Amino acid sequence: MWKMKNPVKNPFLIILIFIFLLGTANAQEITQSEYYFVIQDNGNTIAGINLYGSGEISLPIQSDVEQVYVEGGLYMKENETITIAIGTTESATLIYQTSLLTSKTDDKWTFYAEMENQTEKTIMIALPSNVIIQEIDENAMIETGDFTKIYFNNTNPINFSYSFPSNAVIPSENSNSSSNPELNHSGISHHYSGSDSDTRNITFDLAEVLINISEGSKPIRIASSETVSYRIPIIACIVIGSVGVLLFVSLYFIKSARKRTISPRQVQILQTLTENESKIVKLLLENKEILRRSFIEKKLELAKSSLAATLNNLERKKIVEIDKTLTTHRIKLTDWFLKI
Amino acid sequence: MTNKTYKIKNAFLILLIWILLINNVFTIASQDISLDDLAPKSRICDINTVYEDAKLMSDEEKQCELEYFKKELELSNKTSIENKTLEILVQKKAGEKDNLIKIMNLTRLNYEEHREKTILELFVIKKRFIEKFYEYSKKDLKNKEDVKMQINKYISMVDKQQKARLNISDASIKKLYTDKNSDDFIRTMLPS
Repeated sequence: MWKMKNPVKNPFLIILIFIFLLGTANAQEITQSEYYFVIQDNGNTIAGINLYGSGEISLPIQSDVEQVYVEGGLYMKENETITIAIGTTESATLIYQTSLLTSKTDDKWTFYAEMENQTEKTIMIALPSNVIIQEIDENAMIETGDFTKIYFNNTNPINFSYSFPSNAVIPSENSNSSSNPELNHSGISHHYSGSDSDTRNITFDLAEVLINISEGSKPIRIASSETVSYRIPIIACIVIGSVGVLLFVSLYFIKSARKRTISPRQVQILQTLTENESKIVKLLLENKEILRRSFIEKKLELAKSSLAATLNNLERKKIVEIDKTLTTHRIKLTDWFLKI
Repeated sequence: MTNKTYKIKNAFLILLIWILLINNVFTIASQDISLDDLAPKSRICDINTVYEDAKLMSDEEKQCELEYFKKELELSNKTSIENKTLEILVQKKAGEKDNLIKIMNLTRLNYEEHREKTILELFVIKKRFIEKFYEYSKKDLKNKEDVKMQINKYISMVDKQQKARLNISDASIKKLYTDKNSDDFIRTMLPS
């Protein structure tokens, strides 16, 4: 027969009861939230939060936040925390502006936001349409369009990095130079303007942009898409020519490198030679062509008598051949030596 | 039984009767005094007056409590407190005396016509927050004004019976990226 255990002595039952009590306690808490972070191109962030439920909640807030807008609840801002109490309204909103959620290193921006751990969170982050997301949590969902949206679900803290493209063109006001956006050497000048549709239609050839940038430090003008289209064949020819030259040079160096290689057998023979003999053979191997006697004499700084004796020895060993038909004798390696 | 024994017994009985009589007289006298205490003309209602069940209060007791709360909430003769609200306040006085004192102080910051609603709503807010909120309001005049503004805004929201929710849309975000006017964007985000 099963015997009922004393519940007081059973820790498992006590834990179960405790969990049940915790659940009932949380029944009247703030349990859900929606976070919206709208990041502007200058790094400022406008944060908007919807809170659902009744009770009290403490949210981390940045030190530069001057004004908070709370609806549907009572609140107190102390240091870097805001405490919100919600009663029968059962929902509250919080809005604030901060520049401390983003930081910039060189051209890379980093967004970092810590949130409370009390609620089930849905998070939406909006960024300008031209941003390039670099490092981000794999669970994030990115949506592009008029602006970039990133969605997170219950992720805390939020941390990702992004950048703006170096050839990006940012619209400004009160200008009609839609076909002549200007770049200065440090980056993008915000002199482009026009409607949204204009912005979408303007395209640049990256090669043209790079060529113009390399011209010097003086302010340069980027041609519009129409001008660019005329120059495309010329640029293509230059690019193909450059690639051809690079290939030729590469092949030449590869061939030269191969020529310079000495076979193990040649190395063994070289080890048997005297110092002067070895020097002459190495010089002939490096140049791989017929050398004049005077050139060898000058190059190796050998005395005429010494050179003559050494060359005779090498000829005797069938390593070099000496052509004595002309006044200046010509020396080359024998076919036998080159083949081994 | 001898004559002497009989005399002693009689004296003892007479003494006993005297003691009983004196006791009765004192008992009746003390009862008169306590009845005087319960007379309506001498009733005083304050923070320490406690009723086990507010629904069982007599009309006189209710009237006394009503006067007490009206005085504490600084309500003029033209403003009254509903019977249901009074019963809740009497119950709170019995169970949450300290919290009631703080809530009454905070309620007085709101306009007279909203005070009855305010005191009931503040009892829904967690005690620990009320405690901190009360201390914050006492700190200086600026905080007091802030708390006054917050309570007034909160009660207006309760009156509207409307859930607070941000007005955020793709169109408003797109507009922010176009005109760069963050103040305007924040204004559009606020619940209407």
